[in-house]
Amino acid sequence: MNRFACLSFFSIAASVAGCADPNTVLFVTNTSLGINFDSKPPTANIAYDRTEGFLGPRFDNGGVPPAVASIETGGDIFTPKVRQTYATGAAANRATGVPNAPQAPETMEGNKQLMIFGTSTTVGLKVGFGTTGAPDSFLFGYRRKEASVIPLGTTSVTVQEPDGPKTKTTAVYPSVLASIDMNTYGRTAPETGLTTKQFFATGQAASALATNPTVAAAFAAKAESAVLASLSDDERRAVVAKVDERFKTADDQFKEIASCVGTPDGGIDRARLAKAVADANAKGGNLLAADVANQTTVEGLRRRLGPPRFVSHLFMGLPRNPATGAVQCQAS
Amino acid sequence: MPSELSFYVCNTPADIFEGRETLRKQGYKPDQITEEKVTGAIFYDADSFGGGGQADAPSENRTVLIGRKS
Repeated sequence: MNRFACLSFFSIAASVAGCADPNTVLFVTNTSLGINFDSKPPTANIAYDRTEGFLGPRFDNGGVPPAVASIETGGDIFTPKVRQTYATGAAANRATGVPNAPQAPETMEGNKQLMIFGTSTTVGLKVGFGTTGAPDSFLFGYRRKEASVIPLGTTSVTVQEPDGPKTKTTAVYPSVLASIDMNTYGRTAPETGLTTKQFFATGQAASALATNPTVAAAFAAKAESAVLASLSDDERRAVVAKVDERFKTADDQFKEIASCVGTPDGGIDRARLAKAVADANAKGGNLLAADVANQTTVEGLRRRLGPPRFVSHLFMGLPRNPATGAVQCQAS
Repeated sequence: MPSELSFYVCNTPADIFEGRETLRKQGYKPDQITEEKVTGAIFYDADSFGGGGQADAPSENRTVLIGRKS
């Protein structure tokens, strides 16, 4: 029995078992993506198909076993990118950033039951290049299946009730995690290629892997590029602090600018602003466009300057006390 | 046509993250920010450079972050 047939068999068997058994969770995804480009005749086709399914128990308090699956596609027709993540139990909670999400159980105790977890991925790429070196045909196919059939575990704790100690049983959905991050490049012949990064884990390993930046990136910031996943939490915090500081500095500097070139009614003293812009550009960088000096309100000037870099540049053009170097507006 | 454009030329992932943070603080939403891989970036602005000039010389494998507000 080949791998696909085996997976299908397990899925069918498990879905039947899942229907009959509220102690088992079935979670499946099935994705296919196809891109076809040809310059003769000019044609571009893109096809996408995805199925996601979850079959499991619902508890009286409304709780359901945690599971998450995501897919993100990007790039352009010659550089398609696909990122998928699939996780259950503690791994799903940790990957999606649930506050104080617990780890998977550290030990394996109690009765054993069989669980199934598998993925199957197929990728194909064919690129033809014309005499100019540009691609004149591009064919890309991607298919991935992810499936798990997992019996719920249980943990029991004894709690003190008014009528005596009682045993409370809680269901535990075991952790599994699978992810793939694939980048394809077919813009030039020498660089044509395909890179993939895959993870597959169960239990504690899945729970720990869920916070791996490459995996968590699928949920943390979908708009960010995959390359940002290489940054550690510390590096990210350092960048955020740096940007915050820069904006704070710019805010302080703009207050001084406003006090120098602004008027009490929120307008602008055009002569002072024009001199500050000219002096700032003369000091180097020549960053400020001529229309900065044409602003008529403090708020308009703030919007026109935009990022801290330009605020700081205009700040350089404010008149200074020659002795102390401090901003001295009266001198203008 | 966008009413406001911002550009950040980035050499490293940290630069890209910093550019995104900066654009976010400038009020750009994530879907208003795009990334372009480029082999060089030259900004030519007659107003800013007194008739022409360049802010960044070409280099290999840079990313330009572009914020667009409409």
